[in-house]
Amino acid sequence: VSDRGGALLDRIARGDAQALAELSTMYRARIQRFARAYAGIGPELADDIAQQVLLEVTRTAERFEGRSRLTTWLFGVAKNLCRTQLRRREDAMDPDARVWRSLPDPGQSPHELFEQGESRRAVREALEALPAPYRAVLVLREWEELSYDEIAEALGVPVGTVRSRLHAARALLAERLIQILGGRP
Amino acid sequence: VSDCEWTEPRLGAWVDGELAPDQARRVMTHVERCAACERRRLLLRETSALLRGLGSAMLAAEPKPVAVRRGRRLAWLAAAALFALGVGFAWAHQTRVRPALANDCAHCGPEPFVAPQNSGNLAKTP
Repeated sequence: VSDRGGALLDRIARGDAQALAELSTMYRARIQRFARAYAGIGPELADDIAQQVLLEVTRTAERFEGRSRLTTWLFGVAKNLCRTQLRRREDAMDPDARVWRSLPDPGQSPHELFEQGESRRAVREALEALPAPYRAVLVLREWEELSYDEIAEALGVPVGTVRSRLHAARALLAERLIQILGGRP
Repeated sequence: VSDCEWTEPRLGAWVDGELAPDQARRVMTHVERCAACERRRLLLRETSALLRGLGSAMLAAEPKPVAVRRGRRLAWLAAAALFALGVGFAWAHQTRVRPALANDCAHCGPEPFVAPQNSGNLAKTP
């Protein structure tokens, strides 16, 4: 993922409207996707959050110091805005209580159980069943391809927490996928 | 701790290339000769592929910026226009006013430019 954030923000700080449009093109849909997955909200609300993130970044562009990637910064802001939505929902489970859950040893793999029409719904359902902090690390890794350090910075948690949450998230996701695709309750 | 018990929690980080070299070597050596952990590695890979497929589909399905509701688009454009006006005004103000201030007082020189401090806390919130 290219991240020419510094140059783009410099242009935004100078009032370059084209740079604003480029920022929106590059990130709006991705932030909306993150917000939907992390906060478990609909596309319209997620788009509102994406626009708030872009406005916030635009407003504070001159303060970007270049120590982190623009992507990391954007998703950090998005996470903060999503948490307001999450507080309105029941998500009280301690995300680290299940950290050491093991990957299942599958008799049948999800791929073997995979059927084109059903897979997307199944993956969405399995993802939605995860605790929000697990969803956040998982989608930042798999969709945004952020490093563990970058995820830690975006979410404001230690790298060790990212590592353990990712492991648990993948284990739970795989387990749930096998259940759904295998037709088990 | 058996090799499987040591390896299993590190498989994901290994696949992600996020393990230290010595740990990565140990994981690789184990996976090469353990059928159960090799199946788990494949499971991780397949789960990842399915999740990435969902992500791509979501991105493709998201409304493009031009398709958003009119009111919201106007709000976005208005915010962008205000921002551009603000920057333009600040630039014009600096280029026209600051040299005059510098000339007004031979002892003090130009006032240093101080960036506003009362905005942008959200981005810093952990």
